[in-house]
Amino acid sequence: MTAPSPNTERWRSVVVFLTMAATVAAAIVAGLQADAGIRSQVANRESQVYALLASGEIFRQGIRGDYDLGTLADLAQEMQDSLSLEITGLEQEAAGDLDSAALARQRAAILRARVERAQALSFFYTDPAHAPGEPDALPNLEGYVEDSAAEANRLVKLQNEQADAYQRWSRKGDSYVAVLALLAIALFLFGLAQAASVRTRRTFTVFGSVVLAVSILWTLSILID
Amino acid sequence: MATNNNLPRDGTEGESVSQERAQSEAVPERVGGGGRTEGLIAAAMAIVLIATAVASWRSSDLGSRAGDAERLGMIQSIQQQDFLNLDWQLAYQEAGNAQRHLLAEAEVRAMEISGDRGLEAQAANQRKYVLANLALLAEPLSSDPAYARADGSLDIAQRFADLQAQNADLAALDPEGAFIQAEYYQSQQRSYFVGAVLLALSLFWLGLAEITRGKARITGLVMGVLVFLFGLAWIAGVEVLWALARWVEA
Repeated sequence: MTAPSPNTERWRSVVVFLTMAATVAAAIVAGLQADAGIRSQVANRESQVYALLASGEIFRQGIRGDYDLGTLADLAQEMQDSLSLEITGLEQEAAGDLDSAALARQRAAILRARVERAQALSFFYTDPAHAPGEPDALPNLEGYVEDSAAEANRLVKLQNEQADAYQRWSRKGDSYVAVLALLAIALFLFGLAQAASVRTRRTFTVFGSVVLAVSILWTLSILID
Repeated sequence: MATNNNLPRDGTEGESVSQERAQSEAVPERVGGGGRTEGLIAAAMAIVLIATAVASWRSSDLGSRAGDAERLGMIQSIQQQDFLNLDWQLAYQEAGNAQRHLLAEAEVRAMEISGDRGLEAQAANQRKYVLANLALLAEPLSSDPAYARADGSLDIAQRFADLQAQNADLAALDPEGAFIQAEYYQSQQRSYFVGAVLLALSLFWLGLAEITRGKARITGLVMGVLVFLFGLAWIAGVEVLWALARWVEA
């Protein structure tokens, strides 16, 4: 019996070693892929929760705006009506129609009482940041609109950030799946190398090694990205 | 001993393979190359593979549990938001009713002090019939002093907080708790992957032991077993730590 050719033994050992290395690389990439999957899942969930919160905030602001602006509109109309009745009373008094003038003033006084109560109820007259600085000035409506949208905008911004994170991790996860497919090809080539004759073994080993090297480099580039 | 998986393709290759096999079988047994060591390596590889399969199942189970907890959290988040929307709607609806009542009351008061008999009579009837009905609609914002601010406005936020506190269905929801639970499972799953990599490394060393001879084979076997034991200890530690964490959280 003769001893096996050292060259044949060396190639066989190289193939087994590369197969093991590809197995370990596949385990690591599978771990990274699972991690990317978990991170994308969490980001996706956060994105959905923020979208829900943003829609709830927009709904709340809609109801609140309806109440606040409705109160202000009614108040402004009654204020105008009251002023109009005051002017009417003055004109009727000047014309000598004292009964009509008294009636107009009474109606104006009633409306004024409503206006004063509505001002106490209105956010635009009780909140110092939005209340008019002078008696005849208008409340700070622009500031109100900006403040109203601030929370919803903040939530939408957070939602967008999480959606971007989801896309990023999802892309990474997809890339890891592609790397796993390459590693499967490498393992297939190494398996063929083990089963093939001496001459073809080298070819399969070289191709498998190239695929393994590309897989490792790709994995590193995904990690750095 | 050396393994030979070569398969004959044609006459020439078959001849080459037979030659290789004959050469391989002729390799003399050396240190660490005996049948006993071979058997140990094979048994260790089988155990590692079974442990890897069990760890994979558990990891998948954890992923599934995390998914279930997340789904529950999302469902509860939607239900919670639904309740919040309804409570805000109710609070502002009540505020609108209270506002109508308070404005009508101010109007009646102005009529009462107008000095005009007709208006006073009208005010008396409005107080008796209209205000009484409006007051019923305006409950509890216009009657409960807890909702009256010092500046005369209504404390709608307080009413909303009370509506939330009264809602037993809302109190039963805990989406944040479900999300925390999901994150526990996900963290545990991540740590399991480290254990799986350790098991794969153990397989790597055992593979090396399989293809080498002498001291290198013994080293490979010992390293493989040590890494495997470390991997098992890691997985056991993960199980214990996360069980403790969940127990503390509960």
